[in-house]
Amino acid sequence: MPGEARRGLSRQVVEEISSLKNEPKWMRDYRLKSFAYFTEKEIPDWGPDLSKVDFNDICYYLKPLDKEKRDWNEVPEKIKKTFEVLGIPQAERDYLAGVKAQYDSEVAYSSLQKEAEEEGVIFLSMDQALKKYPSLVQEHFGKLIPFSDNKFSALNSAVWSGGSFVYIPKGVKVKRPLQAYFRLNARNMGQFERTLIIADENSFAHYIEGCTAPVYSADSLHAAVVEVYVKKNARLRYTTIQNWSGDVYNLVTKRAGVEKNGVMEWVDGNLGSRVTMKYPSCYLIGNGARGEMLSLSYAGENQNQDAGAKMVHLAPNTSSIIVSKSVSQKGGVSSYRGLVEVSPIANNSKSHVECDALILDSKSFSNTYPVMRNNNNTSYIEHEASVSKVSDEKIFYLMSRGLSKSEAMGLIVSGFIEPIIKDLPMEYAVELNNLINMEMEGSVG
Amino acid sequence: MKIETININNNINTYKATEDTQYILQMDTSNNKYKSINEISLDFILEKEDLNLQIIGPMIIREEQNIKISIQVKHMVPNTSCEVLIKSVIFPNSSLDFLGRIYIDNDSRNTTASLKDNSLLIGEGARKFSRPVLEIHNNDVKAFHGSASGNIDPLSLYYLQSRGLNKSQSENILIEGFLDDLINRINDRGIRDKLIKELKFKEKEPII
Repeated sequence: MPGEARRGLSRQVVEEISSLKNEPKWMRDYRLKSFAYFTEKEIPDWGPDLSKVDFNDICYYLKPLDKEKRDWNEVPEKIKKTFEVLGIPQAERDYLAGVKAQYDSEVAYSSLQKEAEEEGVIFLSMDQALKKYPSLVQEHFGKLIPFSDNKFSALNSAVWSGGSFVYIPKGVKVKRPLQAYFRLNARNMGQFERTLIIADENSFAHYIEGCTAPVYSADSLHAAVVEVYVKKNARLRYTTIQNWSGDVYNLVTKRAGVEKNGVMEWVDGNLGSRVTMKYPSCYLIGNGARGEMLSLSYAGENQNQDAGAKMVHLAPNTSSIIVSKSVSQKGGVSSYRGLVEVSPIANNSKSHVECDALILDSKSFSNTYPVMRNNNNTSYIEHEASVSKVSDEKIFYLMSRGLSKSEAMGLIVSGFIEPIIKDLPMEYAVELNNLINMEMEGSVG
Repeated sequence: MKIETININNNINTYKATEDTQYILQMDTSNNKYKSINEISLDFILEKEDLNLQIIGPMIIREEQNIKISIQVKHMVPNTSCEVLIKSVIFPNSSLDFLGRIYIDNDSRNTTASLKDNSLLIGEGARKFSRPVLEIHNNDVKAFHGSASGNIDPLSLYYLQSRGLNKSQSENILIEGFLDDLINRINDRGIRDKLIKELKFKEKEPII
């Protein structure tokens, strides 16, 4: 029945999604296997509280025809104000807030440059790719992140829809970033996008997802799976900026397999959401492979940002760097949870982890849970973490220069996150700074 | 500062200091004593204001022993500080699994905490697992942890050998150098000398 999407999850729903999309048999079987695993698997017993996620109150697939409109007046003040600060056009505000339901959960990709296409770059939604390049998809789908990886990857594997598929042919260097925007357009509409990126030998690309504008939805679940293949000598950068509205559970599994001399860079900015659990990982499987992770998280009121990274060194001469910055205020909890593992055969590997946390008031928490396993005596692992408040001297100095206390605080926080911001494309960097300044308002004094 | 030595052989122990204390962890891994111990857990709780703690742990892990140790420091009141410094030398086919947790309660304002855990992995099959955890529930703190594990620097080894020392002598010097700052932190001369003496073991038995 168009107009109202069905809630709840059952084997039948999974079958229906598959038949609506006209999928090949292997995908249908894969979904069903995943669903069976999902029902058996328990919710993780560590990390933030997920007991409030009601899997039966989420609608798992919204047909493109289903529309759900909301009055502009229903949109919370805070979200409107953020649009104002970021200077987003009215038309865009409308669908970000869900007033206009013109986008479904499939990816709206628009800015693929012609030149990239001419060079043979494939940039499609996952559903289209499954139809056009079935063998390429089948070869890579679910191979890095099997459905049995965790409960949420199983859920995604069962009900995925949307997401992007990117293939960069051998030797192609994509100059401009490939951008994809994901938007929730209906309340209680779970977003289960599935992204697969293959960077073939000697290629380079920069993929960007998300946007700094808040995505508004009520009690939603976002469980995405992202698989990235970085082949020999290739380099891929994956930038995510997400600003979910304050009621979204953002539970994402991201993993990259990096072959000989390949480089994988994750840049990850987490703002918003009620709970974020996200640990992008790099499996360094070829000699000389390198993994990098830059992570920024901001936890405000009622937010729990549980972010981190995993670096698994499985081959000699591999290296990795993790830089994580977190800011918590107004009772927010920000945690770093990470893993660095060096296997016994990974000779001469190096890993450096740095995590810094800033706590802005006495109600807020910061945790650091790193795990390091060094199984090889020729490899180095370094880890450093520090937690501090903004020092009174710094505030005093800036105030003596004529800044108000909150301006001073904003400036110090901007400086703190600068190492991450400078790796973002310019427009994102500007927006992110504005956003942080806005969040900082009224936080002191 | 009061000095208290802790002989690591009991599985679980809790320490509540009443005055500024330097704890020195002692373990003798030259015999196989630790093979039968699965997990060692030491908790230090600061429940008195204006208290400073130092926990100093030199650890030599050898004879294919796998040691699991956890050290937790809990700051429950304002104006306290702690400094944990663990340095371990891990010999072939031995391993250390270290959990260091610093917890700072919401009431515990003006806290300084630091935890450092460095390991030297010597020879094949030396393994080091480390989980330095910080849980901070308050913003008036300075908390830090650092963990590093790695090999003897090959360039330093080469330099010493070029000066006419053999490989095992050079390694001894570098191991001593690695532990030097930790040993110098020990306020008690008797314990310090005893440790230095213990470190000389390798001159008789070349390790690699």
